Amino acid sequence: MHDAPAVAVSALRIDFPLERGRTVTALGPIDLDVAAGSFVAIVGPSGCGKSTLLRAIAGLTKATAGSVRVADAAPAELIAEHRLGIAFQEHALLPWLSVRENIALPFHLARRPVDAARVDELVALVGLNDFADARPRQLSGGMRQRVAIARALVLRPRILLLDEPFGALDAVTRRQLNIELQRIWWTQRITTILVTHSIDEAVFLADRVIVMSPRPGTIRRDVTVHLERPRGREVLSEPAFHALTDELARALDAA
Amino acid sequence: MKSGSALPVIAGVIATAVLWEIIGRTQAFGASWAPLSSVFRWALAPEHRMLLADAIARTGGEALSGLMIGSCAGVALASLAVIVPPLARGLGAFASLVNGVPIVAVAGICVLTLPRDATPIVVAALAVGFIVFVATASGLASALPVQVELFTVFGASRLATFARLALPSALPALVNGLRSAAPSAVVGAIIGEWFSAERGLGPMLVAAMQNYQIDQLWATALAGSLLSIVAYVVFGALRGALDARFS
Repeated sequence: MHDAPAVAVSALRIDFPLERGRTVTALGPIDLDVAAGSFVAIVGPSGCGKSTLLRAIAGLTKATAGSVRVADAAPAELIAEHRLGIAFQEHALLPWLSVRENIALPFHLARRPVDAARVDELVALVGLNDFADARPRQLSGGMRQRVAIARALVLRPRILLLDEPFGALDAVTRRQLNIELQRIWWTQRITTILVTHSIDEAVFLADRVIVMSPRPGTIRRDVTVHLERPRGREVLSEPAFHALTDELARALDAA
Repeated sequence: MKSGSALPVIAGVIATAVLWEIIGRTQAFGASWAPLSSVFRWALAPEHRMLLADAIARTGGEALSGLMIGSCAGVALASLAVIVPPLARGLGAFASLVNGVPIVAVAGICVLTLPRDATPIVVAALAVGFIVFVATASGLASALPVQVELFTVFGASRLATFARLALPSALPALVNGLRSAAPSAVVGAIIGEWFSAERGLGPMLVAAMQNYQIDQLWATALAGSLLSIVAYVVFGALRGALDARFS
């Protein structure tokens, strides 16, 4: 593990333009360090700017003030080196490619030869061996999100960014995928930032949960999760788990 | 085409044929409305059969050449507008301008400036080009914003985003454009022939009108429509196959 934080956000503020040259502050100021190899979840009321924060770390949204550093580089530099992994609420799979081809896509975009063994490894990791040659339309919503996560991981990124990846799934599938993601993360140990509106999901998956205030979003609470890893379904019924989710729910309500 | 939709089509064709026959037989609209049976008799007569088949092959070939050339030009211009965004507005205006010139005027200019055989193909290509340009341009913009953002975060070059996202996303719209453009290619080829050619459906139409050959006129018109319908159906089937793969 490295000593320098994997992600360093300092005094970040993001304004969005309104009509007639006026602007509104969507986010900030935010200061946030994410330790290398850790899993951080960000929760907050809708419209608080948590996705905007993630998009700033992904280099998709420009900072109005302050800075974002990922692995001691600007997001744009990491993008140029193909070292960012991302998955959204929409799976964004290419319908004309098979599962295997979708997972291999980042190799093509990085102009690298496809590492077939690595692709196979990820197909297996997300449990889609029997569907490797299927097309996205033949998959369930949960399977599509697994493919999207495998695609995000295939190049061994410096950081994995997850923007509500299970937000559109039903509760049962969502819980299954939380358990899956916990297991996947445990094998890969890639620094991960997850934006979610589910407190259970945040506590189950993360080492640390950040609670944001309503717009303009700032950090309201920063809670360390001391549940042991690897975590299985049984964690969901532990008193410590519920104590944490209750505490965070109160923090969110107060926010 | 779905099998369920075949029945109304067949019923429509039969109803039109019967109506046509009745109008021709009763001369409800005058003597120049030939009954369908007499049109078919003319078309299938040994001395006309080869003539008509040759004209269909010739006009069909010109339409196909024009369709290919016009489509390539339309796809190339629409692609250029995406790859070099500053060109987009200029290319759109240029395409609209070319499309705005009446096709008959274009044919007249072609006759004066091009080799005789080239006119039907060029007119067909021009009739097709704009339709395919517009279809391709809208298809190239049809990738989802989230897919574009994904490509951005994965560090895809502009060219890779075009080749691996925009272009495949555009294929269904492009084939849809081809389907709409194919009948225009037939019309363009016939108009081109009208001005210059000695063989093909265009000259047969001219000859039929000048000599008051009613059966020949209707048979030739029917042959032209047949070409358009065949093209429409072929590209419709292609569209169906692509839809299964690209969405």
